[in-house]
Amino acid sequence: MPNIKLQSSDGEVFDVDVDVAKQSITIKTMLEDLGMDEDDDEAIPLPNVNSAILGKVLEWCQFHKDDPPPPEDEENREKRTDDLCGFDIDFLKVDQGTLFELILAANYLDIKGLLDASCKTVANMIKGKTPEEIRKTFNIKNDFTPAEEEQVRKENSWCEEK
Amino acid sequence: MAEAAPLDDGDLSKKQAIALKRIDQGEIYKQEGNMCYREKNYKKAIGKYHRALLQVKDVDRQDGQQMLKGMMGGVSGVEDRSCQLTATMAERVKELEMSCYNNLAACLLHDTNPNYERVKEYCQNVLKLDEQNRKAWYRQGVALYHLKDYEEAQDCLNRARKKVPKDPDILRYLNLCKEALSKQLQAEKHRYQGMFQKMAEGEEEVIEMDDDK
Amino acid sequence: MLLNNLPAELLSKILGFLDKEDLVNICQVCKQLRKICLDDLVWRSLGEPLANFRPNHFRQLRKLFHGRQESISSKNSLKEACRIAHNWQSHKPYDCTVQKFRQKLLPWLCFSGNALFFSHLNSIISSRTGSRFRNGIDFKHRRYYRGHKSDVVRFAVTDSQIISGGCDRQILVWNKDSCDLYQQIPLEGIVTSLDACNSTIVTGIRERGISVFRKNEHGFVSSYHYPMKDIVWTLAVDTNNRYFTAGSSCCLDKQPLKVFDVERGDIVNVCGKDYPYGAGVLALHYQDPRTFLSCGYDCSLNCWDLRGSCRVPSISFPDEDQSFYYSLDSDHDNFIACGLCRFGQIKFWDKRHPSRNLQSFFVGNVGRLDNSSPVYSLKVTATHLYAALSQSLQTLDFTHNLCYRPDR
Repeated sequence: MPNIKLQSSDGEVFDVDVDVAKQSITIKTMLEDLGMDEDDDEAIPLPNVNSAILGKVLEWCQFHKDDPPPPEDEENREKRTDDLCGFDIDFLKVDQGTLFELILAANYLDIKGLLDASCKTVANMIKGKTPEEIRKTFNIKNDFTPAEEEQVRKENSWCEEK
Repeated sequence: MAEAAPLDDGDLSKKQAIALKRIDQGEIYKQEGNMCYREKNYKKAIGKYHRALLQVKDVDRQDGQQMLKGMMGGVSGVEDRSCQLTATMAERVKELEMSCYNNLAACLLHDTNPNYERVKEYCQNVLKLDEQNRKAWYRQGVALYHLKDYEEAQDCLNRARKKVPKDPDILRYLNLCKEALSKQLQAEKHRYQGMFQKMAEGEEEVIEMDDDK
Repeated sequence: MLLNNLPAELLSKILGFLDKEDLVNICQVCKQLRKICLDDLVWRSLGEPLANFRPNHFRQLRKLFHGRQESISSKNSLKEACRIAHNWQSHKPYDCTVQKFRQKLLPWLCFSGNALFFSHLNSIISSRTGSRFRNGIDFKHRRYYRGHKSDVVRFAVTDSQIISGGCDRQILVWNKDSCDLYQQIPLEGIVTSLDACNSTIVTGIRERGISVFRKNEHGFVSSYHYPMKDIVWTLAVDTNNRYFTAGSSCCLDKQPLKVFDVERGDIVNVCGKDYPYGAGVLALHYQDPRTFLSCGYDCSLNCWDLRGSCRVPSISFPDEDQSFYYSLDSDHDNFIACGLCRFGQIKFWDKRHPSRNLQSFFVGNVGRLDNSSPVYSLKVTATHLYAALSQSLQTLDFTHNLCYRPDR
């Protein structure tokens, strides 16, 4: 199987199966333009992703390499967050910092499946929580005065109706 | 690298330095790509241009950052991964992206069997950054011609012509489009002629054409 | 790294997976997240089902989905659209009486260029609408179109003129902006129905039939006359000015719905079959040059497609309540509003789901108004519904945020 070399921001080189790497649309586009030549084995530097995160991303891609391509039609996609596969759920049981880094990496490399899965994971961490609980979970500081907070709640109370 | 500790103003310039290095590296790749292009080594050039783009992609988070900055207004002590580019740096990034996409389109057109959809996509990326970019309009026109979208192609070629009305390449493609369109028209006429002929011979019921928009 | 260090577009993507109940909570967490919640991306998937309901803005909302217009914290944001759509969907208008009539009338309404026109006794009144006015209607500056000697029956608003037919056996044409009378057309009988476009007036005259007037450089001149056995209760000219449809009372003539060619004056289509006696048509509405809606005493709403044979309606909306339909309006797409014969009842229909109406509710139950009235005329816009009852004019405002707004 042909391979491709990806280099993280901190210099580590990952030798990766082309099929695995092609989960990233960015890389896939590049390979298509090259006509599948590996370009003298020169590594492709990915300065936005460090080795730890790149390693995890490639692990995800390895598992999902035989997945059918995700549907193009984004508008009609349902907004479910409970449809993550077992692997993804376990895979994304990481600390918040790593989770957000994965989101950024998936965005940088244009890996839709990973991006969706990680965003859904974060969404699940928000669901069902009160504002105070959300602040605690994500360590966010409240910069509203109590009056302002009440006003926001009222403004959006139509969302609470069925 | 993932930064763990909160950063203060001194570190801000450190992040700018990192961004600067990436922009520099991007430009190096672009130059290498240009050399390969001159040596007609198109595949290698493509690889270089892509590497250049990867260097500057997301090097700033200008869009998001502006929003965040505006909102947080005062609440500090939170870690910030993104980086405020200077105006020069932002300009360099934009120039780099434009050149790389333009050159990628050029490289692809040299292929024996070019991916015209991809050429079109890269030209559109350039035009998003610079609406007046002549080369991008021209190459998009060429791609559309090959994709048989002759009217759109003419549109693009005419836009390219605005700055250099006598450019021979543009004129050549405009001619090709004109010929192709007239051939298309002939083929259509022929097809419909056959249809009316049949109607005259009473083979088919007359179907009124819907004339409303 | 923290959640709120993510770039705004990724935050919007995450928030786009939340239900609106969670979005309320997110909005209260901090100012930054509240701002992000205004982004259209967040509301895209929430908006889709709601957008299908909101009249008149369906296509505009579609454009927003595709084009990602930057419209944060503006009145045109997708979030606002969702909120208004939510009001439509859960039937939460602010029902307000904007005009009371001292006696029982059969008022007629038109809506054109942000102004509401309604008939009151022998004149027509127009008022600007807008959220800056109290109750959404400008009472201070009204225009009056006077000249009829008795009640106005029906009128139409064209680009530059108001054309109305009255019980005084004449049609009057006014200049819309100056309120000056442009033309008086005497008729042989009382007007029972009327519709007009820029170059044509079609009118039903009691015991006479249909008269058509075409415009030339001197004004409207009589073009031809088509005798009808029954009273013509409603007329509608299509938007392309090629055809007009007449709905009559189905007493002597068992074909109450006929489509005519405007120029030639002959019947091009007879719609429907097997009408029982008295199943007259009371309201007509063209959605586009080839499609129109009809309703009336036959207790059903029907959609007709002129490209077909019209022996049967292209869509039929059966009403289990078997009530008479008096008035009709649509957003020229899938949303239809009907006014019924009693209690100020209004029903909403969706063309894609004709088997059951979307909603049914009652207007004008504010205060001690007589609420046994039919809804004689109604008009829908993206944000409001205007209904004319026998003793009042109601506006239903769907843009309100009643939970939030201070009392009116």
